[in-house]
Amino acid sequence: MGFIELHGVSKSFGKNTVVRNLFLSVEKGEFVSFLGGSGCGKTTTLRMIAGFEIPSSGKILVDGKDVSNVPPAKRNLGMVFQNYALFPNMTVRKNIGFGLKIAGVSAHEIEKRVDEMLALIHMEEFANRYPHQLSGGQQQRVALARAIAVRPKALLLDEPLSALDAKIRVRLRDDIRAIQQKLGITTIYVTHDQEEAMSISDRIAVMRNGKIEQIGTPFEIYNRPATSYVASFIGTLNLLEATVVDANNGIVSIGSMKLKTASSLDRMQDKPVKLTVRPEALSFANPADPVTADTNVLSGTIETIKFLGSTVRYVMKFGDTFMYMDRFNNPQLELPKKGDPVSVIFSKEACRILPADEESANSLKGTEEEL
Amino acid sequence: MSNGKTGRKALSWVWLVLGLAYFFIPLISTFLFSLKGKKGVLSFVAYQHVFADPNFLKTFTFSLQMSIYTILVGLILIVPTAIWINLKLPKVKPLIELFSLMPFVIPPVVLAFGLIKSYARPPLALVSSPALLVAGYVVISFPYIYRSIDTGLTSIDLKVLTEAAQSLGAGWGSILFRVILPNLRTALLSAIFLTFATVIGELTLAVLLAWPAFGPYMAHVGRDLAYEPAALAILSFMMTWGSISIIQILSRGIPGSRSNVGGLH
Repeated sequence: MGFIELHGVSKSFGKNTVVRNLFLSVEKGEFVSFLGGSGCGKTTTLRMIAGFEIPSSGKILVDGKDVSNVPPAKRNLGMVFQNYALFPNMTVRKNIGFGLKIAGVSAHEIEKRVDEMLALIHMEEFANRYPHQLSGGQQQRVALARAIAVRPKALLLDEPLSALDAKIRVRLRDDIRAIQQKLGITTIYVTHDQEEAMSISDRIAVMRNGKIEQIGTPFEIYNRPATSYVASFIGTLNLLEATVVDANNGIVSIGSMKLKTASSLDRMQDKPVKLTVRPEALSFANPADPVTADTNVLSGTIETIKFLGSTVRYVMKFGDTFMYMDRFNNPQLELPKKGDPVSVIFSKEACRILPADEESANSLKGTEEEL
Repeated sequence: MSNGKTGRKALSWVWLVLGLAYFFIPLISTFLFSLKGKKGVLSFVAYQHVFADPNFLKTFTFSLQMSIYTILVGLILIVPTAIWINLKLPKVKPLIELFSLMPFVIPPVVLAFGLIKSYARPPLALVSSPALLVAGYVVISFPYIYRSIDTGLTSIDLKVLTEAAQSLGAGWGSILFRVILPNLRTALLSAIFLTFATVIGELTLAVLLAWPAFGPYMAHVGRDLAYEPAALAILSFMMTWGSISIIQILSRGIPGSRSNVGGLH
């Protein structure tokens, strides 16, 4: 039995159903992220767990107790908000001690606990400042300290880094993870940033249209996406429309090209499918490398080159099909030019077959207009 | 480019001087007129007459009392209402805003006759009670109190602050007195002083409900005397500006007001 459990939870606002029959189990001490685009129901689900929204149906259990109708003040769940929500009239010290004061903790104990929290977030010297005297990153650290000072059963974070700039976001997400691991606190984290979710979470629940599309470790979600939506939401992806031409040998066709896959294609002969390949799985064919029976080789031309710093993204054209390829930046090598002929190889294990009748998240399909 | 910039700057100064002249010339004229109580010399004799008149203190004290009651009743009624509307019933907000304009649209004389008509007979014979005057004043002050509080509530993220406090275990009492009201200090002060200024100078309700208030006293003095009304006008003006100055001074020390340095990451 999980520490936080959602049993068939749904939420509707009027005729608009935002969360649909959601089941989820979060273990004690686990860090689970809800990841998805706008309107997928991730924040509403978190707000139902926090008690700010009442489920239209279903049950929410925390530590074995049904809290579906318990007011937020009685749930003992720490919450961190997107825009910090620090009390402007209170200093950092008073903000952190607020929950303890409400709980009737003695002044001496509050002082001690606040000092511990300030040390935890490395902000001892800011104790007497007011929120407006702090940067966004500092304010969010104080908000985090305030939420965990009361020793809540679980910590809920609603896009806590989205108002911060990129560098601080990376630093703060590492701090959040370090503090979570140090305290062993069960955490649910809402984000629309897939990189953030991957770097911080034990498990990610990818949400779409009020449902969990897939839940798994970041490794599973990235490498074994269950649907084309998940596959295209996480990272960049070549998503190609294909037809199964040899189900027994796992061969599909894309236009005039035939590609080998390692997928089981039973009962899919002649059926349309989607073939996915990560851009990093492709590499330039080296004449010295042996081409085995498990390798796909494609010949085409360079269409565009995007220099992204640590990596270089190539857009290549193979017949009518466009594909991405990512390579590490190498200052010693000269970049090819548009129109240069290229051959790329990728293993059949890198190809993943998904059902054809699904909508993808970012629509990174191999069509000219989208590339 | 430089000539154009200088020209614009000069024009700004001209407008500023015109604006200040429009505002200060009548004020200075009134003040100078109030000093002419004694023939041939400038003196404060008109002010002495005003302060020596027992009705001045009597009516002023009465209106002061009424303003305190109005402020208390108004705040108790309107502050929780405004908070609730902002938090739970935002759809009702346009309707309340429309209501808050009613005292500007409906003349006080209509309100006064409405009150007299409604509360002249048992079981609600309140015409002889100052409670009815306070009730009328609350209606007249409603726009000032509601709009001040609403502006204050809009400037803080009420919903998120409330939810943050709730997630930390706070009940409605703590949320109101420890989180919301301390962050509404400037708005509350504005509401209080605007109500005070309105009640102190109010004429129609006090006359029609027959109460010895400061407004009717000023009207009476203005009708019968020459220099004293000017002295009273200057005194009223000083009271208003005194109130505004107090708001400024008190709100300067409010923690969380954005007047300080930014922090480091």
